[in-house]
Amino acid sequence: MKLKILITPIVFIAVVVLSIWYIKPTTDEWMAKRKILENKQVFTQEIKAKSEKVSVWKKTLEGDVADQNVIFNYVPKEAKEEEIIDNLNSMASESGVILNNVSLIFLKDLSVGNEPVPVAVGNIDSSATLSPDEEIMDSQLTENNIEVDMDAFGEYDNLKSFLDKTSSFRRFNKLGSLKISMNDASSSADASTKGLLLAKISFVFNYAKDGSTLVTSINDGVFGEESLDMSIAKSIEDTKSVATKSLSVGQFGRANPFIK
Amino acid sequence: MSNINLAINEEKKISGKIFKSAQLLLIVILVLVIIAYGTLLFLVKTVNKNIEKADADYSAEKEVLIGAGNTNGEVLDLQKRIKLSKKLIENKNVEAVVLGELEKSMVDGVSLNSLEYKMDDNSVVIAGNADNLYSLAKQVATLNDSKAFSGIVNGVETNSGVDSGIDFSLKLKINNLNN
Repeated sequence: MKLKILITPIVFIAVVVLSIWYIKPTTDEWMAKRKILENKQVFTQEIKAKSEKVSVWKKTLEGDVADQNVIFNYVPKEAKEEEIIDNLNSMASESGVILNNVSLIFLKDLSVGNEPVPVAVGNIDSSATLSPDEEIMDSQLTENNIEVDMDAFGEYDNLKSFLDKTSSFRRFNKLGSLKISMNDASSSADASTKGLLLAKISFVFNYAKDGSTLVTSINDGVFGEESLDMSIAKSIEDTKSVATKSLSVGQFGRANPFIK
Repeated sequence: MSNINLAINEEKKISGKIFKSAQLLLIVILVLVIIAYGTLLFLVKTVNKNIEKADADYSAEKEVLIGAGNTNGEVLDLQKRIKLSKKLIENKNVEAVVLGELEKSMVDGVSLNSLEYKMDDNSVVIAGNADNLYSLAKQVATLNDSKAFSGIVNGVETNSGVDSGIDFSLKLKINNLNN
């Protein structure tokens, strides 16, 4: 009889204990994990969207070989010193300018580097569990600068024409320094340069190494671009009228390198 | 006289029924709570499996996009090269501007012996010869008026010309063309 009386409070206590110590925490755990699952599904969808975007870019690539060449000539992947020397020589010849003392120096790497750039994270759900490698960064190509120094002899108009051509050259370069003065006829060893102006010119060319392995985070800034905008190729062609010449080496190889 | 015992017995019977009903209700609630707990455990197990699957999907997609064997390197390099090219093409050709402005500024009776442009300093130093101070003054005036130059830095130096006239040199600050 007494046992029957005890059943009610025991059952009541069991209900309360189960609810507070088991049901509630398990419910909280389930809801939290549902949230995590939703976020992970969102992240997966985002990656898929980025992959689709890149696939579209790749399709654009297949049809735009000429434009790609313009861009790769403007900022090449390698130094291509021979291209610099050959094209400067051509431009000088076309302008009636004599080049002397040409030197190329690789400057200290002035690249921005691949340090992760802090990006606003306000739109990322702070309750989501992010993978530890999901850095938000904006990797950039490494720019390498080459200083090209030379002495150029010519009349004023010819020197100006040479400078115009180099500034219109379809490989990026900028003028580092320019000094034009009367060529000191008495000290000039070369008779062909007597009476001409002497321009001591320093150009800065550059190149950017292959960046195909630069992107290591799905949150890299490159995925924020909407399209592969090849219109820059047209801008380059419109503003830079002097095309890069490709160098033809011809036959080479000789048993004795010390004779020409 | 009514039978008090009968009345009390009736009351006892009624309260006994209520008590049993409450007991039964509590037991039903307990069973439901146990079922609910079991369901929750099942749901948690299911969501854990789905999270594992989502992680696997995520890793697979990430591998395709930027993994070691991905085929997107070329197009990503080009995209970054395009961005760099857009930045570089904004560079203005200083030499054309500087020479052009100097030509426009030249006055009669003045000629240049040398000019020196330095990118780091964004300035140009010119040296020349003026027939006389009046010509020199006019030359300085036209250079000050030029939109390409923001002014003469540290004044004008003069010396008597080697052959004739007045040798001069001055430094001009170039306006920032990339603004």
